[in-house]
Amino acid sequence: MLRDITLGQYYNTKSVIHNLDPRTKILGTMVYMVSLFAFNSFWTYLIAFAALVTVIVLSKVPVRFMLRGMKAIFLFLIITVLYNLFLTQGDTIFSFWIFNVTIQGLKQAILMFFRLTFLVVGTSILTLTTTPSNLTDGLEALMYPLKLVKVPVAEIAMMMSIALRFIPVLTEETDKIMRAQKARCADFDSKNLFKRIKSYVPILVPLFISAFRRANDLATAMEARAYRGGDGRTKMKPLKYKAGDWIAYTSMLIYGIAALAITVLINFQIFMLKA
Amino acid sequence: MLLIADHLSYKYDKLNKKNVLDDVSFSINKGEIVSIIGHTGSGKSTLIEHFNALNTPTEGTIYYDGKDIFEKDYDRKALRAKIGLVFQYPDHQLFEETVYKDVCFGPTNLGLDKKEVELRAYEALKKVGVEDDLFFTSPFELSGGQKKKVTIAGVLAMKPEVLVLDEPTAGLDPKWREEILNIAKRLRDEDGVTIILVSHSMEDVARYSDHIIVMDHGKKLLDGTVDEVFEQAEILREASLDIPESTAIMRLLRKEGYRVNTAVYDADSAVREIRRTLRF
Ligand SMILES: Nc1ncnc2c1ncn2[C@@H]1O[C@H](COP(=O)(O)OP(=O)(O)OP(=O)(O)O)[C@@H](O)[C@H]1O
Ligand SMILES: [Mg+2]
Repeated sequence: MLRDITLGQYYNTKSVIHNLDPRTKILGTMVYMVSLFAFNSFWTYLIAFAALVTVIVLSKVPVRFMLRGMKAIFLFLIITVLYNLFLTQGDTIFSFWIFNVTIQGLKQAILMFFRLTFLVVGTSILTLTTTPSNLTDGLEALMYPLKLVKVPVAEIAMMMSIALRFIPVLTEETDKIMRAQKARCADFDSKNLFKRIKSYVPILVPLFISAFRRANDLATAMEARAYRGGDGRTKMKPLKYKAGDWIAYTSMLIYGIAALAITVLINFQIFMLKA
Repeated sequence: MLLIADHLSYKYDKLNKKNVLDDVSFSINKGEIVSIIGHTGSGKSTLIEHFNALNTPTEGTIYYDGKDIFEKDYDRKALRAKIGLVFQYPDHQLFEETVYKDVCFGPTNLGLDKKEVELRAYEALKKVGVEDDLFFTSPFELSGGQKKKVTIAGVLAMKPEVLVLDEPTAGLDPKWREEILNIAKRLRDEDGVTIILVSHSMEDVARYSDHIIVMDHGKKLLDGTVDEVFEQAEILREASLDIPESTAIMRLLRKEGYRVNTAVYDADSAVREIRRTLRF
């Protein structure tokens, strides 16, 4: 179960998406996220779905890797959908017991379901196709303007990439520790909440110790290679846009314009109908 | 037969076609020292995690003491006390402030009263040879070998009938390796505990075990006594495993026409055997 978190798990293969500049992919992901929130009609979501499918196919990452990310938020997804389904005011379709299902609620629930799904899958494409070091480089480049106001951009980027890198390591470790304690008859599903929280101590202690030890080792390894912060650090592979990136930016632009046009058109229709 | 694996297959990922364990069957007798060997990734750890039901097979099952342990109403928590599993890395297990408290964790989980728990912890620590002055130090300050001893004690305190050790000697120097393996042997000899060892060292395996199971790519490759298994040096080599150096030398001598016994697994017996042959 703990392995289901895809975040920070790079899927190694060769594809046009893997080949894109990380800046392109980060901006692309941001454009996509914004579009999901800004436009929420049936037709724009259809376009968003088409775009997602295209990128997944191009990325050559098996779909099940993307869906693994979904498993992790499954509970959250269900709660959100149910919340919207039952607690939205509007015109009732049917009701039972204390629940009222409204047409608005139904629409809202479906919208939330797709929005969350697209968001999770969309962002996991970014981490699945970009190595952590590339991701950092991209973030660092995009945050460059913040340097002017004395934000330690390079350090933040380094911290982020280290955190991403260690998520799968620590989840795997958690799994191993849990098994080791289960082998000593530890019980993690006690009904009593207090007991249950207490039962996690034998997992948390070894996990923290291991995390600190890893952090220490990493710090030593970095120091041994003369890491001294971001200032004046040069890159082995400086980021450079290629032809593919311009195609990607153009596609993003077309995507954005299409979504905007459809939204305007729909609003215009509604406006006309009302008039 | 105490433990029987019956056509066991397992995969971590249901979407994956490849089995991590593929149709593995064998049986283990009470009081045996069994070694499970195989190259890295051959499925040894995955296999032993079935013995105490930490993994559930996708096909097949395991019988312990005549009962199917994956039956719905089988008490798997009680099983984990009977089949004690010590993992490879002590750091995944140790968490308490003191060595003594850590060893108390297992028996406490069994719901025993405080006196019984403390008695068992004391006995277990004594059994593995942890000195009294270490009882109340932090387990994190111990050396690798001492940590290993404490983790073994932590499992022994549950009084298991079977003790499963996953690569107990990995990362230890020869003196500590010997010491850990002797603990296992002593447990078998004195208390009749059945021992299952996962190991990489052929010398250790040859010296300590009665029964060897060889794994290769999730399949059982060989299964038999030490003599029977090391007889099959060619098959072992195909699974990237080696026979002990001394055995290899004896086999070469045999090929050269010397009439030596090849069932020899350590330097001392090799010398004795060569001497015996050359006397005539
Ligand atoms: N939690 C897991 N999820 C998915 N695959 C796993 C998991 N643990 C192990 N594997 C895979 O299962 C196979 C068998 O692993 P296992 O750890 O049982 O081998 P092993 O024989 O113990 O190896 P080693 O000598 O390295 O300890 C390997 O290919 C490994 O990659
Ligand atoms: Mg292993």
